[in-house]
Amino acid sequence: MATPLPPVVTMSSKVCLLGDFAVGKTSLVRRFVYDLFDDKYISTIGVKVSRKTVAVPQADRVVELSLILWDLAGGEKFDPIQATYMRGAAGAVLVCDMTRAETLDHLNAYVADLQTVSPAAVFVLAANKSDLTPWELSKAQVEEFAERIGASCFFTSAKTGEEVETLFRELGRQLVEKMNGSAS
Amino acid sequence: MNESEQRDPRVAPRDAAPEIEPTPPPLDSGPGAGEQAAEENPLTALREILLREERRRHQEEIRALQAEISRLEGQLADQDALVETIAPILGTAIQRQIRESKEEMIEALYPIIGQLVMRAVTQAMRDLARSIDERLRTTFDKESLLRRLKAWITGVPEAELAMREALPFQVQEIFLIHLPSGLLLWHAPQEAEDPARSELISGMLTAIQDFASHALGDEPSEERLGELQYQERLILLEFGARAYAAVVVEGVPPLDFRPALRQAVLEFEAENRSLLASYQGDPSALRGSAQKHFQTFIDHPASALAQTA
Repeated sequence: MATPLPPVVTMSSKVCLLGDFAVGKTSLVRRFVYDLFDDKYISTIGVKVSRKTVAVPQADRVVELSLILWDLAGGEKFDPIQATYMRGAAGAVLVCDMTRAETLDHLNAYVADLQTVSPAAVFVLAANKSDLTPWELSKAQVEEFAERIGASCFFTSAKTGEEVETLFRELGRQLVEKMNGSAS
Repeated sequence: MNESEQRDPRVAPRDAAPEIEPTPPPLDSGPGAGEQAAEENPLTALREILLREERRRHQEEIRALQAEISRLEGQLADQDALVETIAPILGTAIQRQIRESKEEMIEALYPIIGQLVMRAVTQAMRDLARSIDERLRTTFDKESLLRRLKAWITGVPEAELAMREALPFQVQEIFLIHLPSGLLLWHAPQEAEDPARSELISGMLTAIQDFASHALGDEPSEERLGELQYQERLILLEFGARAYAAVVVEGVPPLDFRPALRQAVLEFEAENRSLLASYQGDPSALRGSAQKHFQTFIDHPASALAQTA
């Protein structure tokens, strides 16, 4: 007798993509998401929304989680509207550029801003452009930063796709775990 | 004169007057006269030398201009090529002309536009009259009885009420959206739904709302966008504290449509206060309540208004 398939439950979560200008936030997601809107909205209203679905297997069911990705425009100065865009976010993908050391330090400000509006947000760190050389950041530096903020860390490349799916699957797993924790 | 001499033009006829050599001017006939004759040929030669290059250049320019003129004549003769040349600048030229000579443009276009508009309005009025006729002819159905009662209570003639009801109005889509996160709570109609599209529209609507509040409002958390218009469609936005409804309509919404919609949002929030306060992304628990409060706006808009009246 065939094993019945576990029930599929559909859920969604808002996730923000945070990081400096030109670290590769938009490129990171472009190949892996369902896109409806033009990238021009990032430079016009400061955000573009796209969607990534991940399947998170659980003991008694499969959760089909829609990650509603808010790709926020990165800039040198803090823009107050960014705090508004971060409201209600369940998690964030923090993106730094391995070839620009300052992009890792600047993530501290983004973490602080998000925690102000969403204290329980879950973080994952994408150390992007890992296919390029030379690196200005070392693996140890990135991992130390990730540990300090309680984030999982992935050395990604938007160009090759390395570690991108893994990053989203891990983020999805953490979000579903958080939902289950809140529900129980 | 013999025959050969007669035929040879080089030989002057015997009876022709002998050629007289021009006598040189007398030495004392004036200061420039003698020099003028001596200089005439050298000046011409000098002029020729000096102007030769310029004349050559001018001739080349003339040849080039003639070629350009031939090309333009060819283009003018070819209608398709002429249209292709003029088309890019036509729009700009018309805009400028409208700006600078508004009255003349109106005079020129009025006969054409007037006829077009009249034709469209006539057709619309015909459709409206047909619709009103149908409504007035149904004497004993529930809607007509309700309309008569309303007319009697409000003092508005029944025909005017019938006309108002006959104006086209359709609710095409309803999005029920979690306010802080922009996550989609419920959407209708659900047949042929693309969940990804609905979720992204919800997110972007919320982002646009946030942007408008920041850009235009004094207190971003207090001011809200009321509606968005695109061609003949309107997106009406009604807000509660934790959720809002975005309704896509076509036509003219009745006066009591927005109050009815607002009421539905508030009742939905009241019924689901704790779920909305701690909303994590699972809309399944809210579906039944959303359907109860909002499905009727899609299926029977008139009933939805009557319920909240």
